[in-house]
Amino acid sequence: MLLMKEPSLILPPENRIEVTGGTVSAFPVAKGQLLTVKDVDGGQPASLFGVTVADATHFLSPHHTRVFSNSFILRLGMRVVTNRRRPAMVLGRDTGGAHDLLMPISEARDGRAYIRATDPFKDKVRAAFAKCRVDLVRVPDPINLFLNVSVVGDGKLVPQGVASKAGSLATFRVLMDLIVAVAAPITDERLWSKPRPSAIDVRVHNHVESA
Amino acid sequence: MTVTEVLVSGGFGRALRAPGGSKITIIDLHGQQAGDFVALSASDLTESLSGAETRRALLSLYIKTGNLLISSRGRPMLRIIEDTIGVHDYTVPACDPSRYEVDFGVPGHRNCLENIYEALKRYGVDILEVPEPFNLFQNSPVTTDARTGVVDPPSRPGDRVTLLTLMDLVCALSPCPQDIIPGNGLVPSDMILRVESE
Repeated sequence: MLLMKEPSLILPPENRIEVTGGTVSAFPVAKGQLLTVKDVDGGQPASLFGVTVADATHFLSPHHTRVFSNSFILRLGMRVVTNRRRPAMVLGRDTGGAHDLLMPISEARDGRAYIRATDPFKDKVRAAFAKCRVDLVRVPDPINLFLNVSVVGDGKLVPQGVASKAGSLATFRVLMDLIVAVAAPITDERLWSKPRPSAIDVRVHNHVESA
Repeated sequence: MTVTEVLVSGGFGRALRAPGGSKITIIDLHGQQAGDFVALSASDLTESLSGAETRRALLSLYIKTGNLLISSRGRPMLRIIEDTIGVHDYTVPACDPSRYEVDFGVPGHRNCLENIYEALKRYGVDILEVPEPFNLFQNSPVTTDARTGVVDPPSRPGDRVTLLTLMDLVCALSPCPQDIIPGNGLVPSDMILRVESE
């Protein structure tokens, strides 16, 4: 709940979603609610997408988020903004350690040689949003929670695997009514290695939980 | 040899077709001008030049001669074959109406997103399909602790980048109209977009 001078927000019921490894789930989150994304077993990134309830062409953008805060990585206290530079959520708690704003997620590649004509990962993201009656014109690039890609001074990007341990979490205060999708993607050997994708636990809640 | 060349006015946009095997050259005529550049597959406009896929392939925030630039489907789309400056960005999104309205209180300013869209719409590209740009000559150094900021480009008059096309493309260039903060020396200026094909 946001502490407003004249309380007017009536928050919807809380929700809990288990995103099993290799899948994508979408769900609504209201302005004022908290969104917590937890790596259940450790070593599993979670890709975050979101569109506003009012307009599916208004979506979370890792690119605008970087420029908005002049940072190549997502940090505690940073605003995640939309493709129209509006703050959509703020990273308010973080035990995950590192979050990526630069890399794609894809299941269209097999090693480095074979590229499928369509990308099953993007198809899953589209299908998840469609279940919430959102028809994506195109799948935006993701915000990759827990994925650790170091940025060094000469511009080199050094994949460091996944920063999160079992139970690591990121909590966002949500500032817009959104449809959010969270994915637990399969491994990309160039960025992180995990033989089998594992679950991501998502909570949409109305009160801050004790640390 | 067929050469198609357009003068792109500072703060405006133009687009050209570029067959596979052709050379696309972008020239900063007066120096210190960033040019937002996008490319899409002419045979399937849903496949476009992708900064995210190129970063994954190169593991670098910067591009240089010899690098392959990668499409949204993971395929090589362009190769850099000449670069007289070596300072470019592909992390900053195109400036758009909200950039000027929200950040500076200036609605109605010209912007790269709409410049590129206006140039590409005759090819059937919707504004929502305009990909993230490669900002040629833009100077976005890594500062301390993985932070960044855009400063004026070091490019001099006549600096150029040439890209070899690896598939049939439509491409567009917008010499960035940003005249409020550093990025173009506060004065948007003209660029050349040239396609040479056999």
